[in-house]
Amino acid sequence: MTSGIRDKVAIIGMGCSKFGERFDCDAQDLMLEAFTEARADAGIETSEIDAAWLGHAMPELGMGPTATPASVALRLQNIPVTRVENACATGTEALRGAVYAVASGAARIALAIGVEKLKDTGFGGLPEFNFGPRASLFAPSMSAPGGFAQLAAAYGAKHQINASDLKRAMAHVSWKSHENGAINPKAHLRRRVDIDTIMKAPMIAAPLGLFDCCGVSDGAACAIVTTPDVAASLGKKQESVMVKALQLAVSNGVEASHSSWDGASIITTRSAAKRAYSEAGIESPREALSLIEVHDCFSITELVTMEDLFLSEEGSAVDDVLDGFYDRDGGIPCQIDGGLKCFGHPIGASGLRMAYEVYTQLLGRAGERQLSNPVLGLTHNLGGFPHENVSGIGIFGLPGA
Amino acid sequence: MAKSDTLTGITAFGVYVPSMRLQRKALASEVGWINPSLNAHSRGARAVCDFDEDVITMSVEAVRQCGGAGALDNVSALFAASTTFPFADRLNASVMAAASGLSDSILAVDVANTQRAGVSAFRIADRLCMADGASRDVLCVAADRRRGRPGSVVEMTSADAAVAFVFGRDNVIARVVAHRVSTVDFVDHYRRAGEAYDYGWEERWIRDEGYRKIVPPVLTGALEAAGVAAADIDHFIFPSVIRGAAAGLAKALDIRDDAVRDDLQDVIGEAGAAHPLLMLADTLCAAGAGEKILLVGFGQGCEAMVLETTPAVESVGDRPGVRAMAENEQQMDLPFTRYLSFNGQLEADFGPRAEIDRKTALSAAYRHANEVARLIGGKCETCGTVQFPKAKICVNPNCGHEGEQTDHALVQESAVVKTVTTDWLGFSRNPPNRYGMVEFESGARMIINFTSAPDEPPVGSEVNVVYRIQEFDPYRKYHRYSWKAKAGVAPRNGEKK
Repeated sequence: MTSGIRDKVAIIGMGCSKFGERFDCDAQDLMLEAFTEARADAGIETSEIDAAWLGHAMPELGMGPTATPASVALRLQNIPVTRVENACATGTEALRGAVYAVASGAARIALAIGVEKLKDTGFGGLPEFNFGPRASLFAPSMSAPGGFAQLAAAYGAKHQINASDLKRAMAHVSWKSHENGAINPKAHLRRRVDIDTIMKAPMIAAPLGLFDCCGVSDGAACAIVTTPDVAASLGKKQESVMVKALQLAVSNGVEASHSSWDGASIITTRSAAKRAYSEAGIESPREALSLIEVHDCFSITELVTMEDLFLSEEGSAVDDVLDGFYDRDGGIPCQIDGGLKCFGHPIGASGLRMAYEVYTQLLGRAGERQLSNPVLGLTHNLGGFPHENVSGIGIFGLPGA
Repeated sequence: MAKSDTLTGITAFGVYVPSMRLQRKALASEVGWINPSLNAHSRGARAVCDFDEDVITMSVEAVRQCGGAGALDNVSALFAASTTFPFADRLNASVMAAASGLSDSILAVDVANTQRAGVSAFRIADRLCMADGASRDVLCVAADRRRGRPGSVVEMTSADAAVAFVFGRDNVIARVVAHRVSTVDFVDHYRRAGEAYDYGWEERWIRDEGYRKIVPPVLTGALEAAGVAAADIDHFIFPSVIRGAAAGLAKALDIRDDAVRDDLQDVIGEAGAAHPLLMLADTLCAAGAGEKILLVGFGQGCEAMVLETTPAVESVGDRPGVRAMAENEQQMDLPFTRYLSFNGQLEADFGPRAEIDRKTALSAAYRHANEVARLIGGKCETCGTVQFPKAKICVNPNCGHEGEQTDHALVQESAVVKTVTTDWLGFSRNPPNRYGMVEFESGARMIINFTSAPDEPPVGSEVNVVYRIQEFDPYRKYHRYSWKAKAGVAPRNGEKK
């Protein structure tokens, strides 16, 4: 029986660049922006960092392969730096590396940094992924919205929800995130949008319209982690956030090739969530969680994720969403920072950006969007397509939570 | 009538007509300003390929119409005819053979470069089957996808279609009883290698010096060899887009007026090298036992055959022939600019997403030929789970057996739609791109493109797979073929509608 990561690692500093169309910046500039904030927050020098993990998912658009560009940009001190990639779950993967390094005792202080520079493509939206010479022999060339739009068809069919009701609930998901993004100074998209505009927006991949899709952004986010003892020695005892759980689940081909999957849920999210709740000692997540930051790459993904995280009953996410349960003033505020939808989605940074918001909220630093007395927050970071993906879940809490 | 010297003949046939139509009236209104005489051709519709169809894919579909599982197991040779093969140096018939599930041990030959190529391939297949003592079946398929410049008669009158014939010994529908041929370098039109379009000569000269002088001696010779009087011919097959050409020849030769077969011009247009054989398939759907057919292919001379039907021809009435295929409910009108774009005649701006490299790793494609060309998945020897692609560890979470799986072909199975979307973002030459997950009868599933349909198929609806161009590589000019799904495919040959 593994003992899990709970309370073994503290986050003592975090940083996040402004997300958006940062046409004036390279990926390196974005990393430095986030790193400078985190280092000041932690109150440490670069020389105190023993190891680092870089999350960078699309090196052909950003900085190229290896972790070298991060080491160069931040002038790290010839320490081990590892580049990780797990599609859109890359940020959580980087954090996992740093957290495990500290928990193992291999590093006293470790850095996790995620970055993506997507706005040098010359067009909107994510570029198409290359799945290598075999899959492309017979697989359709799927866009990201096209991959996730299929969830809506299967979810609607499974729960007998008519297309217009589902579309309205999806619109509410996006509306809520725009409301939240509007009051987040670091968010990419800061304009409020009414439900009617969302419903009538041009179709991208049916039934996903323009506002059902998240922003494609440049940005970076990072975390500095250490043990609780070191945190205390640095005087950060009251100003740190504990890692309660970090779980990852990866598809094994069942969804894509076995008839047991109905296409209406993300199997890996369910696996990772069960393990994360167990690791964090949470029995009733709907009651325990103060806020959640989920992978709302598309509105339908967020909606389905509410069930996959066991927060909404099977088939009732539409009701919970429309009831406002996940709104800022609801039972569990979701995407209080605007989410991927409005904060933006620089792929490698997103998992760390989610942790940044939970950290910021738990420490009471969220300004206009601050929730009252949050104690436990969850991040959910999803990479790939519904039928084949990586799901990363983090749970973070105040010491003692 | 001369007694046939063998027992071999046509045992099955299949026709494929694409769903897409160019309405000639609409076409004339687009290009009539270039050449007002085109209005004379503005009746009916042309059958045209969808963006992902070509001679290879149409040929595969025609072969599939020859019968269900097992119908082609005894085929020893495939002769494929066309003047518009997609590859000049890669055996087109070998692509067709793999997709049709034929064995590696067959002979495959491309017959090309003349409008009479279909008739020649037909004759060669017939002779080979006969020479072989009919111990094995021989397959002949003909298809064409001719393209003319906008405003040309070729553009107005051509059809894209395919037809396939199986020659064998059992249940012969019709057999060839006589054959005559001439080869004359008569250039009614030509297309140099590598060129996109034909150059043609005056119709009156083609009719008077070509049809009226080159054809009659060959037909007379074939009739004499068959011991059949011209007046006893029940069906005269002579395709020509020149009005009245077939009727004029019939009159000159004493063939009955009512024997002249309709050229299908109003229904689908003229399908180049495939057309005499498409008209033959159309004839066999209507013919009774013991009827005599005069089949003619014209091009650099003339090739003619006299065929006689057997009582087995009566049983083909329920099969989807040219007209059934052409008039099924799945016809879709293709807007002119889409048609032009599909054929590279309009350089549309598909945006930067079209720039992505579509290179095919030929080594990987060959390694996975079974799954890509033949759509073969695997069946677990332990739990029986059928899966695609074939795996070395069973995907069934309750099994996980490690080891080789048995081949399981999915081509003949229908499938049910599990997920679907209509994608306006990702690049397609025919936007929007539609795809989703389908599950076959055997339980295997895959994410697949949906094609040739006006809407996305709803979750729970039934689809069938069709062989199509999966990817175009504009830099290396390679077409990668695979399987897509289409709603409500017409019933297979041999099945009741």
